[in-house]
Amino acid sequence: MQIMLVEDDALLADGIVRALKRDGFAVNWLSDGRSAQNSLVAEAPDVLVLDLGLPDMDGLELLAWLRGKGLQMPVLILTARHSTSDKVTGLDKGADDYLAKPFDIQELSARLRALERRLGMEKQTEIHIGPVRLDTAAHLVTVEGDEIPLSRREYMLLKALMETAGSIQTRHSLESKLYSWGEEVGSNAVEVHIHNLRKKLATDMIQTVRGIGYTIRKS
Amino acid sequence: MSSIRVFLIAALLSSITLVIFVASLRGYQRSMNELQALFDDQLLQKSELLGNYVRTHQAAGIAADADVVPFPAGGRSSLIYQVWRDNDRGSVLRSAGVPETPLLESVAGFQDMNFRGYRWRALVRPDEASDLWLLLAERDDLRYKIADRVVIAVLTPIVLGLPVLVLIIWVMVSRGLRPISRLATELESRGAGGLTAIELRGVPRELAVLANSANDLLRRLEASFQREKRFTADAAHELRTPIAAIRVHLQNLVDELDEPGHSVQKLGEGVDRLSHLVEQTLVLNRVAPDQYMAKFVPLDLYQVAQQVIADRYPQVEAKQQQIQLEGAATEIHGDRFGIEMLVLNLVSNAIKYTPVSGRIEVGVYRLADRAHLYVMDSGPGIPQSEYQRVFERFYRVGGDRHNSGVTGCGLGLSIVQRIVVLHGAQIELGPSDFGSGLKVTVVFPQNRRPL
Repeated sequence: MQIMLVEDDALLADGIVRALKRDGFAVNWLSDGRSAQNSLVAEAPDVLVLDLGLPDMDGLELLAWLRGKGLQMPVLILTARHSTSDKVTGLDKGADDYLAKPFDIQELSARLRALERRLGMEKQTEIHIGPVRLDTAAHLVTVEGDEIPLSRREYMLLKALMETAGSIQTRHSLESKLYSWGEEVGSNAVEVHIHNLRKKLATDMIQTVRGIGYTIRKS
Repeated sequence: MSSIRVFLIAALLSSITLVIFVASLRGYQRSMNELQALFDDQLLQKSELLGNYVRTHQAAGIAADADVVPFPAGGRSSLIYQVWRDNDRGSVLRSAGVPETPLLESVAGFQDMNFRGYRWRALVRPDEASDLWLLLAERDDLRYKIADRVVIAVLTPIVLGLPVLVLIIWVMVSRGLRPISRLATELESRGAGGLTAIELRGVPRELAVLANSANDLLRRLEASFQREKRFTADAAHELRTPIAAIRVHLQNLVDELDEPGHSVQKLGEGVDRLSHLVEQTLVLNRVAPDQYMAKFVPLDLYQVAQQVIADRYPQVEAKQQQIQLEGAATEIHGDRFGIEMLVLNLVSNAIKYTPVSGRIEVGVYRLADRAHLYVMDSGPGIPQSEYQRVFERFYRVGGDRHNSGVTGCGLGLSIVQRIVVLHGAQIELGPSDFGSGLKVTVVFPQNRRPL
């Protein structure tokens, strides 16, 4: 997958480029907004990793510009600004994900993998945790080799939990994933789906964190 | 505190009262003079009557030296008279109770005199038709009584009208001062919701200067806040970026080395500590009371706690701790960044100091109309004697060689403290319900209004 990194700090950019190349991404690094614009017009990358603090223009400005040009590739924002409002503004202006500095390079890699899966470009389409394998290309779930039939909602919930294994999904964030399909969601819809998922998977891998949400432990 | 309203009302009332008093005094004197002239005229006419009376009686052959002859008006003690001869000042006629000797010299004209303990107005004149002198006198005090009555009749409505005047002045002064209180309210509302300039339309000319300089001050304050904010943002950017770079390179180094040694691991701990210190310093600086522009909005404390725990969950999982959130949606009035940092620091402390497989419980509830937040853990806790000191900056329980072996910079509870003060809340430390460990409770005030 072709990634464009727009980051003015050479020391950081050098480290990111090196790490991402090792993880199998092709990375093209640009250090300012103007040259990023030229490069984006010449050859659009699959994913843009954008630092907000650029020397010649604000990262959000560049984001607005490229969305105005009709460029629809996923954009992941890197920023040293941590306030919630910056995050919301970034996502409102059409960013797909957001990572605050200083970040874990493995976290950046994982987020890029998720974007890659969304684009349907990944080579590695299988996520497996314990006995459960989830094939994101075939939309197939198997437990110890046996295929488990899941409804679309159950599949989406399981995928969300497995993709972010080790972290937690609040009921609210799971609900918003259901909502994004444009369907009505009952007040205990998530509980019901989780209950069904647990029965079908016949494992206790989905854990409830009281008052917070659900999580799947990393294998 | 001096009050413009009280000053204006007192000044207006006292000057009005003074003017009325002086005017009344002048009026009293004027009417007195006119009454005097009028009474003197009457006295002259009565004297002429007395002259006629005496002449008539002399013509009729009545003894001119008879002791007492009742003159028509003579019976009244308010009027006395004497008639005497010019050559020997012998009495010809006098009213009752008046001595034979003339009371005054034989000099024509009006005069004041004392007699029988009263003040009298007397007219002495020679009778043109005979060689007799006439004296006719009236009591002065009776004259004044009449004058007093006139003045009282004029003054009474004015005095009775004074309370009405007070009321009217009060209302008008209050009305006149209303723009000042409006301006004060306007200024008071600044600070909580930002430093926007005061609307100058509708501000009276006298206050425009004040409003203008207030606006000028607000502009400068706003600029200074913006500069400070930009500086903090720039500093954050400048500090975080190189730390991010070191981290990435360190991770690359770990990946490239077959066997990362002791020093690489310690390097990682050092970077984590530096990174944590920078973050905490930035937050502590941002919540400094003198430069923090808190934006108070309605917030669900439960939702904030949920989000913070969800964000920190990877650390909880790494230590295989059990965390849970109790309670229900509880609305408070708070600054979002501040409340997030408050919960984050309490939860981070709990995660840090609770051992592997320990328990953490966070709760949000409302009691007696006050929102409560508690975070308790099954860690080692803090001895009661240290409760006060833990809020000091850079203070760590047990000193630098912290027995928990946890990296920290000792700013977390100082940050919490500042945010607690900013929200007018209270914080209490106590033992947790888990047998060991700390329970921190933050109690928010009722119906919080912004500071």
